[in-house]
Amino acid sequence: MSTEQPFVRARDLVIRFRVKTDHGSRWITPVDGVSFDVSAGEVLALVGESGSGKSTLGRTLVRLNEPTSGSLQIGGRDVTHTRRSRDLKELRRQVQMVFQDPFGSLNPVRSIGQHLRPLVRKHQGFTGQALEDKVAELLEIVGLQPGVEAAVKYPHEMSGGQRQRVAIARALAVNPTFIVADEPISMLDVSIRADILKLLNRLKDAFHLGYLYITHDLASARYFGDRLMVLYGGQVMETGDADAVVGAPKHPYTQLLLSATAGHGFTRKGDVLNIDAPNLFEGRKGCPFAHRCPLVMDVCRDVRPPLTAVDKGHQVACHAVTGASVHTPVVETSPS
Amino acid sequence: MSDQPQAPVQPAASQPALPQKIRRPRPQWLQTLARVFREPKALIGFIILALFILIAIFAPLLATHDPMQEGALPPLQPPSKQFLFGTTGYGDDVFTQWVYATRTSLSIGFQVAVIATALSVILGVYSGFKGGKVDAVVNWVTQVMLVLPGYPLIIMISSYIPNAGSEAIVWVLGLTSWPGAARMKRAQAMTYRTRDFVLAAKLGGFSDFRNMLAEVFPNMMSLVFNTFISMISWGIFGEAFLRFLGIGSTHTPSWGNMLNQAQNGNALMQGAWWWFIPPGLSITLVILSLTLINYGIDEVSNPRLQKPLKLPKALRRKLQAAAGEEGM
Amino acid sequence: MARRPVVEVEHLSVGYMTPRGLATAVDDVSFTIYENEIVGVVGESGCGKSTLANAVMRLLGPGAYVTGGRIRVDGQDVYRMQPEALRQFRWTTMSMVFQSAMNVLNPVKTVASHFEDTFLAHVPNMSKREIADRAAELLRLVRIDPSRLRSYPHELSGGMRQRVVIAIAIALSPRFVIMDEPTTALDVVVQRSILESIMELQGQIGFSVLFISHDINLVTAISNRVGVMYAGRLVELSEAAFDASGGFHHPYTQGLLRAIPKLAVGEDEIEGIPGSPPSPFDMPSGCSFHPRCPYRKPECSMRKPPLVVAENYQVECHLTPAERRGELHVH
Repeated sequence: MSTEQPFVRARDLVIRFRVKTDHGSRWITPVDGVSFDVSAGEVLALVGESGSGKSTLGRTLVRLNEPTSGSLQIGGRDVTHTRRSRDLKELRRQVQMVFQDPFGSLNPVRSIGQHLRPLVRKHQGFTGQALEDKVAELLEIVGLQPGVEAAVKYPHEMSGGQRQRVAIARALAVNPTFIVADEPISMLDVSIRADILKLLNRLKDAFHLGYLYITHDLASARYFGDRLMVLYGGQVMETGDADAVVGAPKHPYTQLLLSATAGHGFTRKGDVLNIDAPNLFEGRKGCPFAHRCPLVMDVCRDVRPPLTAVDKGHQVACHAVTGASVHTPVVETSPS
Repeated sequence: MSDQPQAPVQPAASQPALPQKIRRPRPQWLQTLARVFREPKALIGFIILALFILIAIFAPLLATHDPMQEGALPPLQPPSKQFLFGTTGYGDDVFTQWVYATRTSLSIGFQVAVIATALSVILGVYSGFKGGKVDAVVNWVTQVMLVLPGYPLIIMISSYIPNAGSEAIVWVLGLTSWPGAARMKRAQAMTYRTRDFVLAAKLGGFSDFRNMLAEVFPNMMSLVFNTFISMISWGIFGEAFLRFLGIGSTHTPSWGNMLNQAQNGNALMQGAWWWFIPPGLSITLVILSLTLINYGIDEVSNPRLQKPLKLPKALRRKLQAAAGEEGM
Repeated sequence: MARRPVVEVEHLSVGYMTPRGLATAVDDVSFTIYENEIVGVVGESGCGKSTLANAVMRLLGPGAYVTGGRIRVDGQDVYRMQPEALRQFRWTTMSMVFQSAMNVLNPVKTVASHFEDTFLAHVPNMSKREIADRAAELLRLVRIDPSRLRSYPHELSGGMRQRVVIAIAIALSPRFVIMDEPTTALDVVVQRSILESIMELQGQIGFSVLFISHDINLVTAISNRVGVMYAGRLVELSEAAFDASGGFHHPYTQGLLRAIPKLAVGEDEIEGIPGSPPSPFDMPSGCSFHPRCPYRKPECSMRKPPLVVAENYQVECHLTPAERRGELHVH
């Protein structure tokens, strides 16, 4: 983008969890060595299937998870291991989150006004009538007219789309510079999705907001994202300009994802691949996609492919793509 | 950002000064309560309970004799105009005793409920929501309390308090009856800990304490109310049980004391049914009414218990006439 | 073209009894599914598509009632069957695949014993050996290794579980299978491979499918004909392959198509449908879609739209194809 410091700067993030299995507990790494930058006012779309670690990564940006290793800088400050509640509050003043489920993310016993009022009072210092006006204004910004009327409603009186708008207004109430949107449209009806996406897009321009847009849908990722990052098994498979990644995907996984997306022609038939979930356990080797990959080579099962630039700003982690093409100089750049 | 953005939507100013009065919907707990009242079982329960509460409040007005004057009346008189519920073997008016006993028993029940509910909410919600070390300690104490046998413990504690009055009984009952309820609240609070709306509040910069109070607790109202109701009946029953065994002061009039006296005075052998029926029946009725109320709350707050609605008969007949037999 | 009809739904209406009165979930829906045909039904939540599926299967939950119409499957009226006949009819003639495989499979039973239960309930004299052979064959058909017969549901991935459910659904070679959002809970790649399996099976064995989904792209991809439901009505039923100028689509269908982000670079316009679906207690007059319709005419709010039947499609709409294309834009 430019020479200025990116707003979010993640380097080699690793997040480990202990899980119980039949044979005692083991560590899994849902996020394994992920690096990326997001500039202010930029949208990075994080695409992946369930188990790719995309939500875990999203929650880490608001520090609902703590990274096991690596570093995370947000707004120029290192927040990798921040634990003091004052520092966490400071972080969350800048980074807010919109959740997937519009039914679970609002408190059923609190009215919409009761959701927003405390936040606006706390973070913007309004009181009395000014507070009421500000809450109404926020609701109208997210498209709930008239705001005064929306404020007295309870969540159960609203449709899924309206609730998601309230959830967005709640994130805005804090005056953030960055929003983690975790599948904000996947639980909504199709006819509603477009308007929510467009709303997020408008807010981005109006408030110069940056987003981490988490989704499983390549089409909406391309629509909303400036750049796209495809995650599989906790590792970055491919990243680059959204149109470049969708228009000319290099990684076999991205290609598979693209060809599986409905609306993208149902022509190729029959090549049913192994559809087992990726192995997330600690100590795995090689490329997480190797067991499903049509281009799999011996090296893939042993050596993790490095993210390698194939084009300007377009990077791919695949031995078959970067290793085979002798003509492209394989430049090992530190990811970014 | 506090200034108006290049408005993506119609700015607020464009709308006429229309809404002076916007209908504020009733808060949900009020709506729930209204639905509880519409539940026939609960309604019956509330009516019975209200009757007893009225008796307790207006006890001095209802009493036909002086409660202080003990043993001044002819003993073992059957019910009559003068002695509505007859007299005891010790020459007291049963009706007067019963009216005052209602007052004592109900007030003990409520006090026990307040103490036990408060303890169970504070400990259960706090430990369930916070988790970690606090939870481990509270949970351990709860488990120990649950394992200790209830009645023997209460009897033991009470018998160490010489001449235990109402207050002592209230504290003994209140402090021993919270663990079960606390465990339920802990379980429910735990499910709220990771709910999105609680996380969102956390991201909004609010403290755990505030979130517990403002986000989680209001969602648990039906469970809290449920506990409160069960604890009233537990308090009333526990008091009667202790008094019947002769523990604590026998001078305060209460249903348990009345039964204890009737037992000591061989009321059953002498055929003085009017002596033990009023307190016995009162205990039964009040506990029944509280149970009915709890059923009502359950049915309203738990959607799975709601029965599917039947088609109205008229519509059903019309359909059958129109199309022969329709599937149901 | 004299195709044999397998499912005939005529003027079906289904309502839910609520404290506020009868809420109509399916409103006067008629359609026919022919032999070896996949008919998809798309719609948003609450449009009545799942109620429709359950009504055909005669599996309406408590509180839901068929308030009119008739359903015949393989020539037999589903709602005039005795319980025992219905039990036999289900699974041998029509079966169903539900959205959540986890709710269908019993967690304490192996895959094999699910097959045993299914077979023994309908073919009591089948031997263990025959059942095992047939089950293995069925699993192979849905591309699962027969060794998985010994597995418990939790040992299978989500996609495999749904495949097992599909195998059980076709175990007794039904003529007709209802699939209610069979792949919604799954990842795109898994989703796609299961859809391919369904199409493949359907080609090999031959059965009719009523495929319910909220994803219009997906339904168009696998169905012969696509129905669109809105507020309880089947507002459109058209051949999936028939893709003219777009003017034949119901305005609601057009709206759905416009709302989906496209993958092709350059196609960047998306547009939601303004407003939200009506509540069953507050149905708009005339055409129930008119408050949200960009092309509405005065008569749309006055009269119920007629059913326009053409060769390749049918729509319930007052507008002419040209008007639906937005050419004669009346506001």
